[in-house]
Amino acid sequence: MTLFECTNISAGYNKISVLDIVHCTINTGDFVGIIGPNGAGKSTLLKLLARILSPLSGTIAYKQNDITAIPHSVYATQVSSVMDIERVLPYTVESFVALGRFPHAAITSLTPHDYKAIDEAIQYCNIEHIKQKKLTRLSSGELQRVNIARALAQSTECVLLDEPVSHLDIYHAYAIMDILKKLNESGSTIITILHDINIASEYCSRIIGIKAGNIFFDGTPEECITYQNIEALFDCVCLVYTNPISGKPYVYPVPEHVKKSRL
Amino acid sequence: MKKFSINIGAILAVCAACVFIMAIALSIGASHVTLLSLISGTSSVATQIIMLRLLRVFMAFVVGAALAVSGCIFQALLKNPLAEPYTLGVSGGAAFGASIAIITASSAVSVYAFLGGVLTVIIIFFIARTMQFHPTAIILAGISLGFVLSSSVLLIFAFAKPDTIHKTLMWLSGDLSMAQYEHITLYATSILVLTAIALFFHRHLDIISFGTGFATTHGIGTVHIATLFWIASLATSITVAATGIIGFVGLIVPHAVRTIKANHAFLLPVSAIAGGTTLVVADTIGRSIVMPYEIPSGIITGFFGGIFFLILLLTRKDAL
Repeated sequence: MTLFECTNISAGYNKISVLDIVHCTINTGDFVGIIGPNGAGKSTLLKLLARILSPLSGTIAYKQNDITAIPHSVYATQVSSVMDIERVLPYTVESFVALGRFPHAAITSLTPHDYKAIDEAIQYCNIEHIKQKKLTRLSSGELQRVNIARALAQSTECVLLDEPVSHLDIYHAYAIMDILKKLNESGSTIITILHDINIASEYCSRIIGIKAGNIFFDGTPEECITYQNIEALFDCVCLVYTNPISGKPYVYPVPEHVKKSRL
Repeated sequence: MKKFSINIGAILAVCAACVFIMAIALSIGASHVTLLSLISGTSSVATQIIMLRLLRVFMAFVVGAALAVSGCIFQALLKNPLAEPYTLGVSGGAAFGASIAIITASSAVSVYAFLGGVLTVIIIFFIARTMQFHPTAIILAGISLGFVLSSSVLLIFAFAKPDTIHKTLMWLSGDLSMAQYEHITLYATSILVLTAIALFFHRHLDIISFGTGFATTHGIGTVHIATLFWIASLATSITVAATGIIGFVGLIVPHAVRTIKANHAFLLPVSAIAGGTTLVVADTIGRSIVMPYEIPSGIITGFFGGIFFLILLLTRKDAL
């Protein structure tokens, strides 16, 4: 089933377009990894889907309805977002995760059902041991997991994430990707921007490459992650092998000095 | 999971401290009448003096509470630790209005001040709406307009008689002895209503304080942001009409309370009580340290508030 359908989208800031998409659909149950160089328009695409930004022209449909016709309060029960927190305030982890219930109970006080969702989100992300800690005291890995737990407490069908594993070490990065995988397997649609192509390859069912505001390629990791595609996308030289264990493609970039000495 | 308690114990403790401080404030003043003399004797003069002090203490409490609540809301809306009730230029507008009233020897200083404040907010509101309530844009617009208005006040001073300048300056520094006591019920009720509405939106404020994008993705539209903007602005304008400009309470009280707990279900009521108490203390100090003269409470809150906050900053820097 089609979840999102973007048609003739042009989007940007101060009326200058930085992203142009002729047509793109995202289906229920997809695990989409968006990759591409800095400034290519990845975050712009995610902001459009999160409705933080409105397109300059074109339409985005969510389940066949124009998203501008859906009230923000209703949309927030369908799609949640994990983006960098602008301000880290001294809330406890538990009360921050509880904010995720806001779209379901904006005015009324939280019901046992809400508390159940909060508890489950906390367990899902393995943050029970820090639930009384204040956000200001967390490491970046912990903060990211807390932020994801907050989005999970929102109980939405679709989760959008902007670089959830940047700045994290391999252990924490994989822990977060494992959470997303588990979530995807339970039926959620995941759309995430990733900088690490190999992580995208291992976890995502679909890769969208964006270059200079256009969709450059779109397909399964096996189809998309070829040395021709990656070299053209990032203007670099690289090798692509197959991970012998997972069978997924993985990318080795070749540094400039090595390239020179080998030629 | 246990329910998030609003920490009834802490709130009760603050209330008790507040009542105790009020009792002390009622017992201090230019004439030696204490609460005890009210209980023991039945002198009608003592009763009258206490009633006068009660009115003043009550006014200080209401204004302090309103400023603290308004400060909480602005700090959430503008996502800036320096945001306070006067960031949008309400003080500049009110000062401008009040100066005109005092210079033209009009008796309706508070009406002029209120109108000055509200007109400023209306201008800022329309600018803010065009900027999609972008916090930095609102702050810069407020500061710019504030400069225009305070320069206008200085321009008025340049042509005014010295005694009117002195009177205006005392008003600008938040002098509770010049407050509008005849309308105290009106001030108190409107502040109470605005605070109650703000409390109703406490979860909105929690979400908004984490950022504009965060608010959007949780389903908060500009209608809620505009509502909260007006609650805080009106509360500030009312305080300005009642007592003039009293700085710092609206800035430091929310910060100090936030070091205990940041959730607005706690922050709003506790800030209100703490803000009210702070101003009662400041006013009591102001009218008792150099008796029979009075120091405007705006000066006291700025002076002692500044020192207190520096200490807090140095000792609890991680909590901010």
